[in-house]
Amino acid sequence: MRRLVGLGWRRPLAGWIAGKPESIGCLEITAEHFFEGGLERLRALRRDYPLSVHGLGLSLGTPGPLDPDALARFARVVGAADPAWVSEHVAFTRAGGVDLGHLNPVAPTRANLRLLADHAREISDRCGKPVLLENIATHLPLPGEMPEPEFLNRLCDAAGAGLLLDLTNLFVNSRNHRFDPARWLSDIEGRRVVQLHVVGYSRREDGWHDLHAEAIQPDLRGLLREALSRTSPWAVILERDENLPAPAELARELEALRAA
Amino acid sequence: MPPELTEVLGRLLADPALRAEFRRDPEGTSARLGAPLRGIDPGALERQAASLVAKRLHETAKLMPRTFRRLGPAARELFGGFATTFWPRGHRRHLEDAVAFGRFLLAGGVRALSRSEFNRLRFALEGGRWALRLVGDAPARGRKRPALQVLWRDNTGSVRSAALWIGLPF
Repeated sequence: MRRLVGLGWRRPLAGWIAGKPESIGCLEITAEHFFEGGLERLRALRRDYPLSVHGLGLSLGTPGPLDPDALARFARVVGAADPAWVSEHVAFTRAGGVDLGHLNPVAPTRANLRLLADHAREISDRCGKPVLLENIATHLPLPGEMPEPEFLNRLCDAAGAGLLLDLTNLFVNSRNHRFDPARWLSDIEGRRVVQLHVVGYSRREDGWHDLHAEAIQPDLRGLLREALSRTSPWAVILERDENLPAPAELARELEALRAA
Repeated sequence: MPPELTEVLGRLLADPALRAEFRRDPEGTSARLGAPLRGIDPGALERQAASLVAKRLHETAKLMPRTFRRLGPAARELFGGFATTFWPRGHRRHLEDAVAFGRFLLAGGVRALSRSEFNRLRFALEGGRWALRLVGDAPARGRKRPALQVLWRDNTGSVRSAALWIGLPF
């Protein structure tokens, strides 16, 4: 099967995407962008592109039940998009009575593995779609009972899920926490990887960040080649949110990803 | 570690005073919170907490560009002071955050707040088909002018805004 290469749907790019440029082979929809409406647009997009739906705020790592309102809205978006799969992060955004709003790490323990797997299965059952789970970037490495790659392998097993491997998150973590990303990759079971995320990293005085704001740099492209030599993802998504370049530049970046 | 660690991490990430206590006395704080925090680096915890606030600031600045331009370098400190007192919830959190920050600036008498921008965000958050507001700072040819601000929702639900200029200053 030929690997699909595409990007995340973003409102400023809607006109370009609607023109069905050849460089876009698939689209990833961020579910929360459609929680307030726009489902007709999704139905139109699904006629033109293979879609996947990506979640940001289901907070799989929060103890207790999933937020029923967020899950219902997520399922409505999935119903309209009819994607090949849905995805969420191995993370929590709500805890301790606070909605922190962004992704935070979950300790790699057996108890958290059961919790995450139960939540992932609930999403899959509710949406009637396979689920992929994504590794996150974090400033806060947490001690646990197993290394992150083993945790992800076992989590995917327990949840019946695939892995959404975010290479930029891996790269940023490896720089901030000083480990070898190639070694990390070699510990991941390649057959689990269904989709890749990649976008250029951002370098600041206080470290490396995943701000979705830069073109892919050469060292990150090297890690991409390494990942592609070990895995056979069905799709590679360019995950650009900020500082969006002109469509022609995005098209060039997509072509480069296709050639990687 | 039990899942309860996640609940404690949520509290620590939201509360700078609790993080300061953890920095001073990791074992005592761990015992008091009932969660094993051994191996958690207070510096890394602080960086993660700072990244959460930085992301909120970034999203709020995108919604309030005029206000943030006027605030200039003071924006970061003002937002940092605000951000620990309010945590928005759910999928409209960026909008909630921006409106709450606007209220925070109003309460503090900060004149950099663009009232027309704030009105638009409040209207987007609070709903309704249309609204009229008087503002003293509608932008016109690089100047601030008094105006009647008309806000409405179009057929797609998007918020629109227009200013009818008022001749008399107020």
